[in-house]
Amino acid sequence: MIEFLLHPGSGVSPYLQIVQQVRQALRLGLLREGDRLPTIKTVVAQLAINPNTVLKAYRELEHEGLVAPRPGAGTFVLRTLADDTVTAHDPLRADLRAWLDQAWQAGLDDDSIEALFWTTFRVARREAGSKEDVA
Amino acid sequence: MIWLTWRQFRFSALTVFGVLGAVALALAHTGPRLSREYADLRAACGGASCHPEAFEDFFFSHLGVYLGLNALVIAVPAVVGVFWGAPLISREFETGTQDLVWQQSVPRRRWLAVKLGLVGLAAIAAAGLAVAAVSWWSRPFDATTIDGAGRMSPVLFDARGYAVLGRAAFAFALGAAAGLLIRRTVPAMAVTFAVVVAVQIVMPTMVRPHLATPARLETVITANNLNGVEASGPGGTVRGLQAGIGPPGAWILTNETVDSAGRTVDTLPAWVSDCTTPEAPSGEITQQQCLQRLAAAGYRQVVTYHPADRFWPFQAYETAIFGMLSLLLAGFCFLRIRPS
Amino acid sequence: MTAVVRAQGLGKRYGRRRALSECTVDIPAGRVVGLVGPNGAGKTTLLRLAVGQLTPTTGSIEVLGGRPAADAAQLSRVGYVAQSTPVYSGLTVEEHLMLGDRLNPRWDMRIARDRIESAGLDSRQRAGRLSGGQRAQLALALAVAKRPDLLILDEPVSALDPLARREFLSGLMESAADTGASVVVSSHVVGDLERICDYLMILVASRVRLAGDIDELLASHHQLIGPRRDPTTLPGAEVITARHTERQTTLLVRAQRPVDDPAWTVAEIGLEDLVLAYMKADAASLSPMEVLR
Repeated sequence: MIEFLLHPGSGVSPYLQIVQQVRQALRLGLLREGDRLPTIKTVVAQLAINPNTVLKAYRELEHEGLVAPRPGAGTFVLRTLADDTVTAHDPLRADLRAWLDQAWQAGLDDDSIEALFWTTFRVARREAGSKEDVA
Repeated sequence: MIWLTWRQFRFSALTVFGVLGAVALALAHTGPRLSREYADLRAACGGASCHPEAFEDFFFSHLGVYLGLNALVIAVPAVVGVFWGAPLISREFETGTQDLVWQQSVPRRRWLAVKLGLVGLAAIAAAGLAVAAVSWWSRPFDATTIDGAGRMSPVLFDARGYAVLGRAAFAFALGAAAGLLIRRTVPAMAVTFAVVVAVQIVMPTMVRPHLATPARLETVITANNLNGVEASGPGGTVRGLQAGIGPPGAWILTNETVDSAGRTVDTLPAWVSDCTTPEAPSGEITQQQCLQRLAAAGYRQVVTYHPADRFWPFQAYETAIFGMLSLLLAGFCFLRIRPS
Repeated sequence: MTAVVRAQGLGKRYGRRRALSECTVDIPAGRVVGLVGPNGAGKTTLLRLAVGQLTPTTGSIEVLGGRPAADAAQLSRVGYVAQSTPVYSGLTVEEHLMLGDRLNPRWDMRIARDRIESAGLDSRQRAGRLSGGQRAQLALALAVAKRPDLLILDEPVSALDPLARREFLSGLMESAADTGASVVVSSHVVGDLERICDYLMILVASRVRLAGDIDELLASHHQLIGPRRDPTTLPGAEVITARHTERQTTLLVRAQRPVDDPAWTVAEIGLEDLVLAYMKADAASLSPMEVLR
């Protein structure tokens, strides 16, 4: 059974943090097909947050097709993201590393690199528009 | 609600009933022996024609306990008012528990009704137990009819009969109302005590004399009934005469010397001192002459009183008065308990 | 959704002092509502009116469709934890549960015992010997076990240490998840409310300044930073507060649509800053308060 952690200062809303942590757990194999997510009551007792927040997060995951509720039994994992293991994306990682080296060599500092990444990412996202979310 | 009332009340209840119960047991233990003692004394002096002095030793040897028990009965209303009534509601305010108990699924009025009803009944029961036990034990002493100590006298009236039940209900309701108004236990207890004591004084002095029209008795002063002379000092002006008249067991309200016109006298002529009991048999003639002269001058003794047979009617009246006051106070509590 | 608390022009006056004025709110059901404001703003007054411990001087209030504390049925539907978390110090924890059992028709002893156990209370302990946090947990258990449709708590954690506070809020949320009851909690600590609430009401100086869904409030309020500008009005937006330095003007605005004007840099605002801004805004009306530096 996974446990969630909330980072109040992170600027990411609590329900998104839960969604991200479930996705991360799926990626790392901590959650597998057929596993049951912690009940809303358990999460809420552990984190002292609004039950609707957890409900919203589980619904979002359901919408992404990762989990499904079984009435009376809980919310269960449908599929993992295990094929997205880090090793499968080694080439991407190597490219990214090369780009970073270039950026540093060009004299960019950490904040500028982050800013450059995020603005480019946002623009690209917007242009990708209504395309399905790539898990 | 009954469970909660008992659970909150049980310590106070056990304390008071414990004391009363212990006293009642002691009285039950010693009572029969005293009755026998009294019966023996009566048999010895020949039955109905006993002179009160025959019982004087018997009476005065138990005087302390007798008076103490009467005081106990008179004190019961004050005790239940101060220790049961005053904290009843004020404790809830002091500890803030009204925010807990008035939010349970019991409307305030029902909460109040159960608390007032149950503890009120207990207060009446405590008074009943006290007066019943003490009245039963004191029968031999009450029967000796020592002058001025009859049932109608203020000292004894409150410790016999059943008016004390009405007073207990009144004191309890008063305590509860004080607690509701003042919201602090100790001040409520103080106020309750003060009012109960005040009523205890006011009732026999200002109310009870007027519960019925007092009877009046006017007699000539004779050597038999003249007790003495009221003077401002030895050899000083004579204010009036003291005469022991009035039926036995009556409650004497006023006992005064009046002149031929019916007015209460302030002073009497100096020769009146001759009317007192002579020291030597030779002075009897002087006394007789004085008394005749007194009667000829129109001086008489007037007593206003309530006869002994008014005991039960007066008990009923007082119980009714206190009963009504209790209901009024309880009604006040029901009005004030609503949220502000 | 039906409203769980509906107030119309609700006001409460003590002599000449106004504790609450012209309060008109419609609190939806099924939410965890945070009531926030400075001390003396009227939070306790509003909550006590809602549970029927006070009666209004003006206006009206309806709770779960009925008059507060009207009868036993109404009382059984609302659970209340007062600020002092009162308990009977002479009664044990177990006896408090018996009290709840006997005085409430909808009492569920299992829920009560679960809460007591989660809070780690010894049922034979006298309530007078409990710590502040334990007392709060007992008061919460009593309120929750009667299975109310609405739970009202008046600053339940303000006197508690951080651990006790967290445990209390966990317990509260657990009960809310279990029973689906609506919750109204008052506090002056915004951080706690941020965790547990999805609806907010801001009360300042006896008036309701703001009420709404937290997500919607945060989405519709924006901080605008731009060059110094003195006329502090904006088309299509309501200015809540305005601050000026020599060269810069910072505005907090409420707008349904995002502000497009390129002269302004738009930033989102956090809940705590939002509450502070409303608390600082002018007491008489919502016109902006200018603070010159």
